Amino acid sequence: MPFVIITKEKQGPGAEKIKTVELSGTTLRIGRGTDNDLHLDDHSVQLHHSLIQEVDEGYVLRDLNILSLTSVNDVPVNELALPEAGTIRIGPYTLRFTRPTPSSPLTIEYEVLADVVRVAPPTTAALGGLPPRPASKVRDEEFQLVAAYKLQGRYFNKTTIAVLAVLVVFGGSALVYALGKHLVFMPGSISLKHRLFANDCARCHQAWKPVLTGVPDKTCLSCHSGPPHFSERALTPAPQCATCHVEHRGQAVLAALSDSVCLQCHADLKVKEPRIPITTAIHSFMADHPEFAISVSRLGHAVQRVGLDEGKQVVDTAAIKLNHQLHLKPDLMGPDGPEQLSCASCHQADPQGAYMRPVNYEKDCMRCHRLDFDERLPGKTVLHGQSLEEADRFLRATYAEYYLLQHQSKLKAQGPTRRLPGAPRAKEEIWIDGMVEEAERLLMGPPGSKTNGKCVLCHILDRPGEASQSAQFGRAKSNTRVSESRMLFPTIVKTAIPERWLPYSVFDHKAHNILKCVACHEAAPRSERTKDVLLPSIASCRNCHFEPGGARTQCLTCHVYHDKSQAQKPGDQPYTIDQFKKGRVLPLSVPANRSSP
Amino acid sequence: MLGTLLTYAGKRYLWGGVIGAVALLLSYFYYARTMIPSGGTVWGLVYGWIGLIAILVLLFLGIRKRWYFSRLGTLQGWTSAHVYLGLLTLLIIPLHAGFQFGWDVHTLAYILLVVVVLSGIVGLIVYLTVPVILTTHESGMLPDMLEAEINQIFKEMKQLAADKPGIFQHLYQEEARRSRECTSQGWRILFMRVDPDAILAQRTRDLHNQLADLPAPDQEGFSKFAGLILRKTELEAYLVGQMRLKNGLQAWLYVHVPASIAMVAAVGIHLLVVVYY
Repeated sequence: MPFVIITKEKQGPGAEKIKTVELSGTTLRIGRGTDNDLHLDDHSVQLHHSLIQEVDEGYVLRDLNILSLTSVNDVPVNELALPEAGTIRIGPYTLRFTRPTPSSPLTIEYEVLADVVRVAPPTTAALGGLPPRPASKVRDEEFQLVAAYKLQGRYFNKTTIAVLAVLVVFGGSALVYALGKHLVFMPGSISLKHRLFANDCARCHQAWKPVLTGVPDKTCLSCHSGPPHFSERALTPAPQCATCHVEHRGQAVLAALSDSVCLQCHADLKVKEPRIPITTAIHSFMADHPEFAISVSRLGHAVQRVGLDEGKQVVDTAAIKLNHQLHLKPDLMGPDGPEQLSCASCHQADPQGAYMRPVNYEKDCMRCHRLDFDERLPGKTVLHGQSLEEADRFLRATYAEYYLLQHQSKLKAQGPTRRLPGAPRAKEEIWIDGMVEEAERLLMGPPGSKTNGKCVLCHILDRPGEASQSAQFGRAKSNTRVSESRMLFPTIVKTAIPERWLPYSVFDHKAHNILKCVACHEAAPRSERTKDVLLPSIASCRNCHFEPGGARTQCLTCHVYHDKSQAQKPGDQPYTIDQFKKGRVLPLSVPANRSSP
Repeated sequence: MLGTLLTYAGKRYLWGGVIGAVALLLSYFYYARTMIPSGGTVWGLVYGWIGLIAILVLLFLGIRKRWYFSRLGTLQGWTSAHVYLGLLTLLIIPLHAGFQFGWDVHTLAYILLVVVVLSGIVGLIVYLTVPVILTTHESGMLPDMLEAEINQIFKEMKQLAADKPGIFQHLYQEEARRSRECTSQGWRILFMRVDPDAILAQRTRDLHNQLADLPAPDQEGFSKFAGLILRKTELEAYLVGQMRLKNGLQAWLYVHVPASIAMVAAVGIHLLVVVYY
């Protein structure tokens, strides 16, 4: 019988219930749990708080907590051999223990605390032998340490932060709207040229529209001209302006588009039954871009698109005779002696340097190919570009003038004469006709000739009356009036030299001037015939333009979408500066014929 | 926790998230090849609707976890789905926007979403690690018990200090003042780690020095008094350690919840703007 537990429980004023329990085991378990020998009901007591064991005729107290939450005589202990008497404090409980003799059991006495009384008065021992003071009438201060170390404060909690954050979002949005900073509400920064209207959303947008409705074309066309892109050949309507030129995407220039824009249609192009074949599936310059193609127009045939890789089908049908090889021959005889011509001797770029301007007789040919016709008339040349009838009149007037100058004194003495109708022609008329005939033979060659003659050296003559003599011969043998013989003059066939071989693409010669001309036009030095097409093939371009790592290969590097040759000005233009900035631009006021394609 | 929240129901939501992400990416690659991706295209709007529905489902967790009688799946399942769906929204919204971002209210909504998801990831990590440590701590004593114990020590100190020389009163008042003025320390203890052993050692040295200055008759009483002070210091350090862990479990919510609400506000403005213009 090592333990005796005496429990005192107040039953009311002055009444007290005392219960004594004797325990026979060698261990006394103390804790809040009901499985303990000494059950102390308070939340500050652990389920298994401590235990007292009988060891070698003594008693040892062990605290079972991580921290020592048990005190013996007000000193926290983890493990201690109990003295003969003293107090054990566990939470609000004070257990008084005594053991008068080593053989007597350990007697533990404590009071059961009511719910409202949790703090036992200090024992005499706890007060160092002093008598207990009368209970203070002032309530002891309670320190709210758990509350002090909690996150949530009175004003700082999740709700207040959330309210504040929402206020910042809404308030900030309202503020920037009030300040006119509408850019904040845009899904991306506006392009450079539209930035002037960045805060005027209604300039382009209609409010409360269905979500999928974009900016209509007529809005764009109120300021921009956007000629259609082969809309007559497309099976489906041309895409809206905003389909390709997507605003509010941080793009500075809306015209700078990626290949994906073109591939929206050209990856699987839907076209009407094409008169001219067109490649309907192109994905990139490197992968499946077809060979360059030119339009070939033959007499009596429809215009054909012919790829540069189609051999004999590739023909330059221009009505001109040109031998590149001959012109590039070393020591070619020029007006001042032998000289070496180069490509640039005849082919000059336009002022922008992008394209070669058309070869011009006066600038590029006349120096060598002069249209003079009589050594007695130095400096006199037929004007290039005249019709042959005009040239004939020019020659006749020139020789008449020459004759007058040569026979000035004789004709003055003779006085004015007039040939009567039916009278034979005067000898001076016969002389002039002869001179003109010789000059025209020099220029146009004899009838039927295709090479002898300064004109036919390059041009092709259409001689409609060739079977019944041409003008220069016919008139010399008859009295037919000039007006009646007008139709007998041959005509120079229109040369029809293409100014742009590839009109659906753009090219910049200046950007390529680091290369020799023959680097790309490699067949030029060997070409003897006009019909040779000397364009570089796509393989030639791919030498430098390739991916990855090469020069640019984007669609827009070479192609343009809008057919600028058909550009028109929108109906409302031009504006005054005030109208332009403040917006007389009424998207809906655009004429109907400018509506979207 | 790790074995249940992230791998709930045979990783059902993990695989759902992975498959969803792959499907979204594949569809986007096709979409980006056929047109310029943006929020206003048909595809962009579909991604936008998916994102909006995902956000609403994510927000519903806040209702579901307070809806004790709901039979709409288990709370653990909802939380598991919340994790993976939240991560998926980080992908859905850029697909909706065609990866176009700027300094605008629309991007603000996405930034707030990113903040919400990142804070959620922090919360997930905290929930996977802290409770294990906290359980070990709380096996000793819960914070309320520690507070009661400290208050009890204060009472004993007060009684012991009565009728004693001024140093007793001074030390008691000093301790009481320190605890009285200790308010709103939750965030401070979260980020300022203190070494309880060092504090205790310093306190012990101070008290030892003060003991040496006292006359012999008061030394025994002071030893007892100093024991109470050290005991209180020790218990308070233990309390701080526990509260730090508890606060760690809560702190991420101070970002997660308000950022979620703010994000809903920003999404509201986004919808208003895109519908208006």
